[in-house]
Amino acid sequence: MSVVGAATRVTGRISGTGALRIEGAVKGDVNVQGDTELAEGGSLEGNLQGEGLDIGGSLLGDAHARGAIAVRATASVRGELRGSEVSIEAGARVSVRLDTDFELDFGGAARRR
Amino acid sequence: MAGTVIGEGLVVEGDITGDEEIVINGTLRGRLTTSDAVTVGGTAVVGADITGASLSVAGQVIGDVTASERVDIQAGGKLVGDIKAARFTIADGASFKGNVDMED
Repeated sequence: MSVVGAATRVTGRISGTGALRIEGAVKGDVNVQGDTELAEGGSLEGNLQGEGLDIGGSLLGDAHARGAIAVRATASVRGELRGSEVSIEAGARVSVRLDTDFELDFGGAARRR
Repeated sequence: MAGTVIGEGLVVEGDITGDEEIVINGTLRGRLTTSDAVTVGGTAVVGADITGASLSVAGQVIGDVTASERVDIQAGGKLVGDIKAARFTIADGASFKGNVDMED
């Protein structure tokens, strides 16, 4: 488990394995094989890639999850959200392009007709 | 609990600056600056100049170190670089290569 603390600033690239929580400020791309939480009060200026993403802070960049993305009420996000599923809580400030991977089941409806 | 922890398996390429304790168990290439303590764990590989209140090394560090209080290289720890600190210890089984400046 890795933590970028609230009084810490990282400028550069973060990669590797394991869960990561960002409480401070990160400027640069984050690409980890693990769940990543951008906590309330934390900020990320760069692209975020991880397994499951939990966003409660501010993100300026694209978020790509191999799993689900949860955007919390405290979050502000500007960029692209791509995940297996994306949820956005009421109160979150988002200006995003949403891209979730699912299939609309029109087959069953067409057969019923 | 430490403010910032770079866990085993995590790689940071760039600068880390902070006002809190920083623990590195993963890999850091760049620069590390904090007003608090720095701990480099046994699994860590650090290629960075380090500035902090104190530094404890159980892993590998290549880089110059400036500590306002102390630098301790633990058994198994490895440090290659110049050290500027008021207090400095090298444990039995540690290795060190570089210059030491203990002047205020």
